[in-house]
Amino acid sequence: MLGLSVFMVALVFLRPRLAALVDGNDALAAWLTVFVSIGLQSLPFLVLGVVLSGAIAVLVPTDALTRWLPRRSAVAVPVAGLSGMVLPGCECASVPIAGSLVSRGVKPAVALTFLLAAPAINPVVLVSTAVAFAGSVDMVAARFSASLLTAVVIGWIWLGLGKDHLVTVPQKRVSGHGRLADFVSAARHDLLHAGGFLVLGSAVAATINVLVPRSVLDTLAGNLLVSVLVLAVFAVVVAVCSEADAFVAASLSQFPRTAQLAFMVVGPAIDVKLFAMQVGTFGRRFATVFAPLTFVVAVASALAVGAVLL
Amino acid sequence: MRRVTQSGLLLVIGVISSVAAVNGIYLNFVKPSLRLPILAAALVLLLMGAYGVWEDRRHPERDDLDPRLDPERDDLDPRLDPAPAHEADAVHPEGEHPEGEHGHDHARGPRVGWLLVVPFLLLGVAVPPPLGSYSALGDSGLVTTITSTEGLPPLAEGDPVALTLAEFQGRALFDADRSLEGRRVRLVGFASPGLGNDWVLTRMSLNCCAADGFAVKVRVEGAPAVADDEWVQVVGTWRPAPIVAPEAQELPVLDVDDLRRMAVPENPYE
Repeated sequence: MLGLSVFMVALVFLRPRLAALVDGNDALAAWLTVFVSIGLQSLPFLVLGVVLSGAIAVLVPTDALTRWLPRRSAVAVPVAGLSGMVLPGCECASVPIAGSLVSRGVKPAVALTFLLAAPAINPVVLVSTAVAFAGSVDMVAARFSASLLTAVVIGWIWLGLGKDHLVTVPQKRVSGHGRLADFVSAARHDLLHAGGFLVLGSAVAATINVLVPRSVLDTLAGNLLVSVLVLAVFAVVVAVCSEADAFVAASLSQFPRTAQLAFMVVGPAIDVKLFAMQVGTFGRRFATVFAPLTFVVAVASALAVGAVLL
Repeated sequence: MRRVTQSGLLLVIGVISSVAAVNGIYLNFVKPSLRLPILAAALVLLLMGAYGVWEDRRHPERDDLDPRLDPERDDLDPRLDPAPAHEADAVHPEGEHPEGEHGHDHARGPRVGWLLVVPFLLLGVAVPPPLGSYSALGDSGLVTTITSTEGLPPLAEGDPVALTLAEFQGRALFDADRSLEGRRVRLVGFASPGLGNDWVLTRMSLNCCAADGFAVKVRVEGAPAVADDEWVQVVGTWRPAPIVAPEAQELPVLDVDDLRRMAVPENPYE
């Protein structure tokens, strides 16, 4: 606390210097604005996520979720995918919740399916997709099916791989000091943990955002496969919130619709800030296996669904 | 990180974000609709922080008992796969425990938590400016999404009629009824470099936050030179142009009658 106070006082004295630095450098100013905006934009969703995950940690008995979910994991995976529809938020909220689920004894494959589905197929995201694409029903249907498909397929793949030992189980210890103390302790810990990694990822996203002008993409919009891959990679590095990515996708109108779909399917499943948060919650060894897997499956789902529906 | 420090960070974030939401600085970064969610989140953080400080005063000894925060207690981290102890050791033959792997995760979590406060301190201390001509430079300035496929509603009453740049552009480029023809309009934006030596009237638009901001531009004719990033209010009339295919679009042109310099509007985006 003392260190924090000293730090704050030092900052107040540095303020004029910082302001002069920002004033004189357009790129730095743009970077700071984008960096701060991702933090501020995520804050409500992050807080919602850790409050829910804290509530799960404290209120839900250890075995309740496992009893409520279908006994067979292969069946529980699609159930978890569909339950993603009820969490109105973006990906920042779902990581701590998935961490909470795993520490409550839910199989990682099932929790990961929820993690992937929730930010992509909830009503807020679907409505914003409909608005961005001027009420295009087939785009909303394509997004819903491709994202759900991605989540469920990855859940099944994870079951088949049997790599649960890569997953670090987040700590959710009950101290016995009362429910409120436990709740605040769990929520505070999750917030600083997930939030710290979120900030790490948003620094990368802000850097890409400032350094790479969007017009560079235009030159790559020709070939279908190339354009799908370009927008999939773009989704990973720009890390737009899933509630806003449909607008970004729609504005990339020089790209084929399947590439726009790939942007919206990959983004909520894996991007730089999510990767950082997954490293924080489930461990680095897990994230380095899970992230490429997610990317490949998400691109394949977008291609398959795009071929059928768009 | 000690528990009371964690609570302190929560209080700092809560105070800065609620002040930003109240005094309007938040509009440099996100849309107005996010004000209430930010205030609600800030309230939760303030309550959690205050509770943490109070709890620490009451039971200072519990700080040491929080198993999540103790870097020395690897044994508290049960792994899903109940691997035998020697196998767990085999992962780190040198006895090293890389950050982020099992075991030390709970210790590092709070340490990485310091980062969460960084954007909020920058917000409070440096007050980054809204996106300006630097960010607009790479954008074509054309809003390529057609937000409505139906005909546009009639233009509002008033002379001049105040429009957003996107609205002006949409009517100029897509309106078959040519509702802008013969009407004086008032637009507000900042100057950014055009193709030649001229400047174009520009406004950044957000879908969600500044990370997805994009520029909307209108060409101005008959206006005095304006420095980049200077905010102006212009009154003028649309120079009619035929409707062309989306891929052949050019920025619509406004013939300016009157130009006034102004301060940055409360919401710099549209």
